Amino acid sequence: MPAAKKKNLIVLLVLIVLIAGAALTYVIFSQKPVEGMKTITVDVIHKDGTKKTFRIKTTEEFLRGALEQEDLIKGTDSQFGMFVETVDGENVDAGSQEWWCFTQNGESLMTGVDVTPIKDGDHYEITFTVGW
Amino acid sequence: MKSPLRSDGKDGKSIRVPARKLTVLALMGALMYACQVVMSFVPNVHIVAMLIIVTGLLFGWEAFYSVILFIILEGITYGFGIWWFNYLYVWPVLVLIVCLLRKNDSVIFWAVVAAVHGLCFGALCAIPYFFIGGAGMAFSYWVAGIPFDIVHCISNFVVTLVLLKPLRTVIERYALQKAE
Repeated sequence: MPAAKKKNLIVLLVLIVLIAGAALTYVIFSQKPVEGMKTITVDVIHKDGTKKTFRIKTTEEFLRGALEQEDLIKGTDSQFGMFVETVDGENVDAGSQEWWCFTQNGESLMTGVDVTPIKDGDHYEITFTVGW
Repeated sequence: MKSPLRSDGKDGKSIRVPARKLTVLALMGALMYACQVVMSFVPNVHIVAMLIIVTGLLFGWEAFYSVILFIILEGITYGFGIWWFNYLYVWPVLVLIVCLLRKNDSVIFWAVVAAVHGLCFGALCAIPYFFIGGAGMAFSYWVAGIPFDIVHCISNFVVTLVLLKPLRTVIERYALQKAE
């Protein structure tokens, strides 16, 4: 086999191994979604400090689906997942460093709404925040 | 040793980039930006990596100019969040790799380089979270994004495999005539 073809074959094999490794890492370490009906609580803290609590009954597996089911969030899809711009009808102005902070029981979420699995009894807070 | 960012003028010592080459570099940066914006409705599918590879292969270290322009335009458009600081090193890393391995001529090789960059995109973007919330936060961030990274990897591979050679030919033939 010519040297160039051999080199191409090796790099392709390396790529396949890396993809397989990444997929395996995801399968082993990712948070697994839960099927079935579940009830979660979502507190929305608006810019003026007012707080509204929503109790959501859903079969959705991820936070985004549950929030969209209640028409609570709107945003823009990006390569990082959904960037939430509107919550409970209130928009943020990114130019003024305004954004919606998602927390669970007061602790920052480590994942976006698209990939945060929910389970029965979960409690989330969505807080209007200014400043990066 | 010749500086990687210098471009020889008539006296061999000038650091000015010839006007035509500068124009092409600027256009490549603008093209990276335009293509990203146009394809932004499809997450993780774009031709930016391929464009960076082409620019790096044709211009070497001067491709940094195009990438810097791209990063600035992205920041102006989408705001200067954490993701923008990711961009400050994620894309220049690809330029660095291209310049170091520039002698390779194989399209498959460069398609794999683009694919690996796409696969590592999430890991590279997780670096700031290591400093914000520790190894656990960075690892969670990276793992959650792996499906997006795999899509990014495959799309980069296909796009580069199909478009690298034709685009390079077009630029060499029509944009770089008498540019040097």
